[in-house]
Amino acid sequence: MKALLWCAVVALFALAPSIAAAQSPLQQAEAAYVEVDFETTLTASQSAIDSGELSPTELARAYELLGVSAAALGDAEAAREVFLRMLSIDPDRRLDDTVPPRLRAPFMEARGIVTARPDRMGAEVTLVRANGALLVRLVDPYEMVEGVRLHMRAEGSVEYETFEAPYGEEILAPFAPASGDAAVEYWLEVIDPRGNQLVVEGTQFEPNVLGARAVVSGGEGPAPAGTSILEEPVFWIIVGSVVAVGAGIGIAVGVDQSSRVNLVTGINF
Amino acid sequence: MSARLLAVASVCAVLSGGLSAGCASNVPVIIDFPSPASAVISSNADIVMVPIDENTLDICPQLLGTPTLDGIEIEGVPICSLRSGTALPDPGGAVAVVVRVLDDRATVILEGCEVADVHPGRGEIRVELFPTAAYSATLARLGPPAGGIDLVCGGGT
Repeated sequence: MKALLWCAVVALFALAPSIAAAQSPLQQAEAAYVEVDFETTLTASQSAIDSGELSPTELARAYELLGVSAAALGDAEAAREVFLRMLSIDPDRRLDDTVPPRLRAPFMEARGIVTARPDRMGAEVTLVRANGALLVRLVDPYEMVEGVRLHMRAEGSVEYETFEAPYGEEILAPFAPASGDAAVEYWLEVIDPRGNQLVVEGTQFEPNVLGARAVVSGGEGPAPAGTSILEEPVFWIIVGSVVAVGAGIGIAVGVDQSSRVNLVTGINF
Repeated sequence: MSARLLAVASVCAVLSGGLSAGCASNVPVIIDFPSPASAVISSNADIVMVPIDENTLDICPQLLGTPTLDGIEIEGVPICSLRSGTALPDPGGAVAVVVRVLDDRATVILEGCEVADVHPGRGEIRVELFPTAAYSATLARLGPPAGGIDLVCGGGT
């Protein structure tokens, strides 16, 4: 029994280096951060970013570890730049409570800068049937985006067609099925120069859908030929009701707005 | 047909609602620094709006120096953003506006508080800042600023 225990201990020691080697750079950075080894945290988190394999959540975490390490090692300016990148990816991200106040200043500065800007990094995809294409609109206030990878398929298809393009405020991705009636499924990756994902819209298994037809329940058929919607009494009843409700909401909003105040700061000496 | 009806009706609702909407009133919140130099050595400001009532109109002295305040908090506003105009949320009533100014090491070097009833049409709110005990140490560490706030903030903003 004792010999067996020794064997297990020896085997554990023999395996330890390979277990460490099997860790990803981000895991190594996390481990070093727990050990308060900021130099290793800095190099490992930078390696993780350089690997170009990170999802938006992982990338934000890598920037967080990099920023805290840089602040701890006395490079506040670099820390602020890194926190800016982190907050560009995830504006709601906050440093955890274990980070001491003296290391928080660069984060607070970065947060102030991000908060003051009205635009946020993001992507919007729309269907342009007239061009037989999908249109990607990008917002990149901190110039972090290298390009996009757009994966598209007609609804019901299995394989995605992938379109890649460098950064542009508007990118038109040609996709033949987009010109027809079919709904188009897509998922989008916005990537940085190293290949990390900055923004992901949809996934391979849960794509977003464009141009889907509304499902009408109850087996309602098309309106008989020659019958105008304007001749339907029910139409005018609904329109009248909705206009009345809308006007009521509008007046309420108007009254509410006129009772609201815009507070704007200024300084004086 | 139902979908078309709903679509047309929704547009009508939006239009009628939009036509009836009004405008909000602007109220400046002016932060009074004790000197130009004090603004230059400042990094960020935290602004907290603490709701008050008629029994707590003199609450300001209690709020100054209190580390955690219960209210609407806007953290880490850079001084330059404060100067160029940062929008604050409408607290909707009487509040104590507490402003804390931090240096580059996140130490509170200036602090001020002002009670204000925030309502449409009121005049500006002025919060006068006073140096904390840490102020002179920060000034000594950073030295007299070489340039003014224009230089720090890059001109007009």
